[in-house]
Amino acid sequence: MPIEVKNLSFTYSAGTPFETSALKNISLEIKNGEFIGVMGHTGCGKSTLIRALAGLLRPSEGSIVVDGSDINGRRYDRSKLRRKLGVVFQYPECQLFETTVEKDVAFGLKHSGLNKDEVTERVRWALEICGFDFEKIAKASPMGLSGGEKRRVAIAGVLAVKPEYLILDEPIAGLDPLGREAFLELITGLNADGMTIIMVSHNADCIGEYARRVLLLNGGELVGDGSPQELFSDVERMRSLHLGVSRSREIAWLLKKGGMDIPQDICSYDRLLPAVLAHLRGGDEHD
Amino acid sequence: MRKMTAVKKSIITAVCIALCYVLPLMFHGIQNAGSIFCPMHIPVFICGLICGWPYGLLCGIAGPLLSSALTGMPPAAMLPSMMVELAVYGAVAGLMMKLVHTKSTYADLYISLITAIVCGRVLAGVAKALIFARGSYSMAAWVAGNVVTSWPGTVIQLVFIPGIVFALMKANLIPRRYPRLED
Amino acid sequence: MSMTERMTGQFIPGASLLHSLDARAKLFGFILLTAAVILADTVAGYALIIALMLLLTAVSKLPVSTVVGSVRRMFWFFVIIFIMNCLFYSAEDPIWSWWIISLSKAGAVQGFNVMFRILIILVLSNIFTLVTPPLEITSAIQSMLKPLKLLRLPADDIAMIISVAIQFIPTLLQEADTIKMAQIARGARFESRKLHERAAAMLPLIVPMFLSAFKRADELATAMEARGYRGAKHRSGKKAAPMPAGSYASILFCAAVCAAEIII
Repeated sequence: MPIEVKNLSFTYSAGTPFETSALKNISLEIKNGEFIGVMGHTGCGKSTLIRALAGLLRPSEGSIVVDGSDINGRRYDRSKLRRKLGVVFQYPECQLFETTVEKDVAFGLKHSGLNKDEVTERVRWALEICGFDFEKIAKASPMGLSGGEKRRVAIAGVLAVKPEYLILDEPIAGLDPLGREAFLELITGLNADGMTIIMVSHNADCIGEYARRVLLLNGGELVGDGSPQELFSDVERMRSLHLGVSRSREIAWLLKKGGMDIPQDICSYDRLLPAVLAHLRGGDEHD
Repeated sequence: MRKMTAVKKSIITAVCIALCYVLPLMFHGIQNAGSIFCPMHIPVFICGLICGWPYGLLCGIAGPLLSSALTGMPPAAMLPSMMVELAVYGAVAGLMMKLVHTKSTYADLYISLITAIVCGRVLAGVAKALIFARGSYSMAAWVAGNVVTSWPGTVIQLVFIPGIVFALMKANLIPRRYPRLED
Repeated sequence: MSMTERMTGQFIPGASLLHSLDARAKLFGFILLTAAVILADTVAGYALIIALMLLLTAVSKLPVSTVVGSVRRMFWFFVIIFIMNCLFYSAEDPIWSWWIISLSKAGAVQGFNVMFRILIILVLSNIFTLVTPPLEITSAIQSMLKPLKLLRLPADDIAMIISVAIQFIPTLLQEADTIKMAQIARGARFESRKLHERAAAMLPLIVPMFLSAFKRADELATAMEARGYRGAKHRSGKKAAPMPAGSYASILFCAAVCAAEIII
């Protein structure tokens, strides 16, 4: 069952001199198993949208329906939403607090109704999927780990509840290139197993390469909703929204400007390289 | 972890003062958290325990003052007695850490904390009696009232504060007290 | 609730006479008036204080509901203060007494006095923080610290620590908001009825907050030492502007009220 957002608006400090509107009349539908990228300039309402979707902010107007029930409805049990939808905030390593890694990862399972063995099994699964050796890491203090390890422990803590929907806010910020690659592989794997992914990122490369659908936000409004190929095709419009396009798309655009006949719906290296090669070979034949 | 320098102690005191303002706001909206759990007390204790008595004293005075100036909480009416209470917490906690050396960090922390809590609560009771009733009335009742109504906060402080200090040591953000005795 | 919501008693921009006064004068005046409230103990004295409150509210051009905002929230606190005073006041002629509890007319009067003083000071502090921007309040406090030098206290270092504290606030607030949201999303619950469960729910908020605050402190201290920072004395400070005449007049007015309360 999908997530349906209808006419969502959010205003901070309504009725005071500090009133600012962060989201304006947003409607969209998220189907199961999608991999969605969310892009927008700083202050575009991305974080407000994430918080509203996760049921952390009550919208001023409009509704969010998850699996058929309104999450802001009077009778709705928020704890159901917490088990269904996981959120990885920016720099999630900051949220670690327990004395051992095992306890920290198990935090979200406290009210899940699972018994002790099931909880341990879940924690083991989550830590292993995040690339740890359970036996080695379980009893360690999360405070003594390296930055990258801390982040993976924090993500394991979100994955441990096996959410159907996973929201990620700038998950690759501050990771080294290898860490990025490994992380995006993990997310793609989860998506292939049926988890719906909503990933907010400034990084157009990572959105262009991995997301199947992109949402563009500007000044609290939804100004684009489509595949990265469609949205990135208009490079100038993306720039006017203070956003970049993936480097592969940029290269394709520049090559076209330079007179090469390259298809303009390319936004990943997987497709750019064959296209350039094909063009060069084609060029050779003409000579 | 390198030794604590005066600059580092000053900056830690500054963040603890800022936390005196931020923590109560963080618990604002969680029912009764502010009045029961006294989140503003925690950074003052931590500052005193880690940086020593002059810094703890400053944190106890400046923390509530800054918070009151920025949000009106605590209201100015409560401010003097609260400043007395927190200043005593910070100063006594720091002083006790200097005087007590049992070779167990936990024991040192607990002894310092309990002494600081008792001194602070009693003196705050005295201060409230002097300010609001100008000595005309049973000081013992104020003191008793102050100690009794704050017991959940006391329990929380005793459980949380040593835990926070240890987390900071494990994260290598402050030096260990007995580096050779603990791993 | 998000932390970006406004708190009661937080500055509201405006163009009234009170808004335009120098913050140092307002702080000093506020302290004088607080003293006046504590000194008041006759009907005439109370009347003068109430008249003053009404005058200040009118001059501030603030809505009355805003000025008394936090008073309403503290209703139960007032009730408890009143009852405590009624019951524990040790008078000679109790109406009824048992063990250490004694109900007397003098106790009720005392309860009313205490309640009235707290209430007025609350409103007074509300007006003060509503008409003065936070940064001006803190620099006013800093300038009041200057006499500390006479006591051989390190006033410069204290001023440095306080201004660093103020600079940390926006970052730490944002951090606090994110940590709170993240833990709620992970399933933290604060609404439990059991005290120990509610207490345990504080831990996921407090521990990360201290860790991240201390990490920032460590980074800043390291950077300052690397640049050879030795102490606040060695820096050149900005000289504060002198107060305008109107501000002196307002301090005089407050002092007069204070003196009147002593006489009455």
